[in-house]
Amino acid sequence: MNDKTQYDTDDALATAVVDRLSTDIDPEVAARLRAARQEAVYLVDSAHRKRAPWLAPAGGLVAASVVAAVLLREPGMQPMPVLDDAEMAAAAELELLEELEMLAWLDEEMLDAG
Amino acid sequence: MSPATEMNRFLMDVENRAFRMAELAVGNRDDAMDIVQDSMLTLARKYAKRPTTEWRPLFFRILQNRITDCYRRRASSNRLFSFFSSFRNDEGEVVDVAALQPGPAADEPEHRTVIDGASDEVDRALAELPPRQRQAFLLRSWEGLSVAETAAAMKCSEGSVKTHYSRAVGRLREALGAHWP
Repeated sequence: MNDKTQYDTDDALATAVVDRLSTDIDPEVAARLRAARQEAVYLVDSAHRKRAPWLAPAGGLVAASVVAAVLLREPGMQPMPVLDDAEMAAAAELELLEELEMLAWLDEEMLDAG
Repeated sequence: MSPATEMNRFLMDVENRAFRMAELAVGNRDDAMDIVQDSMLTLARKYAKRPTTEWRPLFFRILQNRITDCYRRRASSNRLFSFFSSFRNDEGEVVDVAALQPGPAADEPEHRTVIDGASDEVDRALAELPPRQRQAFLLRSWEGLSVAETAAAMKCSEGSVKTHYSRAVGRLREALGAHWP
């Protein structure tokens, strides 16, 4: 390309300028930007969990499922009543799941005693 | 994809350019870092629920507002500094200490700090642009925003964006030379 016409248009000049703009940043700034980003992402995640409370007791749900699976596999044991999907959805509160775990444990204790 | 993952991806994409834009505008790494951090948190706190297609112009609008706030704070602190720090030199003349302070003033490019010394002619030419021209140029050419998105980010009309952009390119051509490099 002829040098005299290389930057004749605005777009050509703009492209040449931004091509020379560096996005390289030193490691310290990169680390600070990463930390700031993580803080922002954490805010979004927290807000999302507040708006979707069924995500919060996921740990309790998993624990209840594990307890139910163990009890159902015990030989000679009466199977626990299995909750259907609608009941599980209604039982989204962590406290309720904890109660279910407690009932399962009590049931197990009674079976052991009997 | 969860909103948090989307936000992470978006911020990863823009963070380096946002930092460089802020650094070019305020001429100071720490201030630029604060501006970008604050912009990220504001976007996450207030606008994460908005459609992701709106995040880019919103983020850069927040960034530009923070840059403007930084100019105002400096102007204000310079005035205070001037009030309390005027003194007489050896010849008995009153010296305005604020005038000796580094840092840009929005409408005084001659006072603007040059980034990383005089060797980087692109950074220097951009740093010397008036703030609105620099915003229009960087948002259009570097960030790739449309005229409408740039207008939204700058809170002005599309016509003003075109004017600022055209003047910015004209100034860059003057500063860098018609046949640069």
